[in-house]
Amino acid sequence: MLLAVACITAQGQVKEFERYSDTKNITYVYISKLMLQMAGKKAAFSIPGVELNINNITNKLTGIQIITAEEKHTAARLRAETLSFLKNGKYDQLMQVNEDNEKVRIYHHEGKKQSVIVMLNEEAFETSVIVFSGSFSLKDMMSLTQ
Amino acid sequence: MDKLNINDIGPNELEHIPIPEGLEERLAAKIDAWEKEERKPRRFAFSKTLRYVSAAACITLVMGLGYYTFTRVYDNPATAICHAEQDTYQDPDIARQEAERALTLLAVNLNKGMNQLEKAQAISAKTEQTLNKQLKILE
Repeated sequence: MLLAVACITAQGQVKEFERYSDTKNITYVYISKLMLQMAGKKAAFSIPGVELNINNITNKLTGIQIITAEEKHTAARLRAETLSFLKNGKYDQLMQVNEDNEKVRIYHHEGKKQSVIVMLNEEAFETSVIVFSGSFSLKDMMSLTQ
Repeated sequence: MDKLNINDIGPNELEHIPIPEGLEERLAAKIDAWEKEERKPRRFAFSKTLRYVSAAACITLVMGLGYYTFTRVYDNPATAICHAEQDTYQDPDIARQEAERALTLLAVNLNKGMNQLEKAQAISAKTEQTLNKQLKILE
């Protein structure tokens, strides 16, 4: 029974980040594949001001996790833990953009069953991590660039 | 002493024969014991193989049910109540807005990086051209 339940819950979320769903001072948002499909049926995804069709990638996503910490110490902890996980979890850094007081790092991991993109956004007192999971390739993701 | 035959004794004489002491209690105890024996549930003796087969059947059934539920949930959004419970948002419009925001952030940052890369490539090409020009003059 446990195995069957585990099979259901393991889909779409990166387990390492799932633990923040019940952490003080951290906002955790999870959007499942099902919700993405339902939302996609209502209207096409579009980025204002950018001529892109992101439906191509949303169809391949199995889940999005958004973790935000807006308190200084919690933000620092989230940053450190995320970097440690990415370092040990065979993630490749694709890009780093430093701008004013903001630092954005984008990491990628391509697995047989599931690929993951992690975007770590650091500001003075705020850290946010966005995790995209799904069966997409690096090429699919780069289609987001003009 | 001659042995008494019960058929030779009349009903009046029978009444005068003394009842042995404690006979009633012993009979009652015996009857109670028989009743208890009858009430005991009979244990079915399962063979080892039958036990293993039953356990395997139970596991298969549970896994089958789990798989069926899982695939049904993903195939038909209308019946996906249990999976929807895991979502932060129950409203697809809010979920859509949040997903759009996340993807926008990713696209914007990827574009920022790629634009810088293109700029660097353009500078590199220009430098190479100038260098080649100068080398040709020197030749």
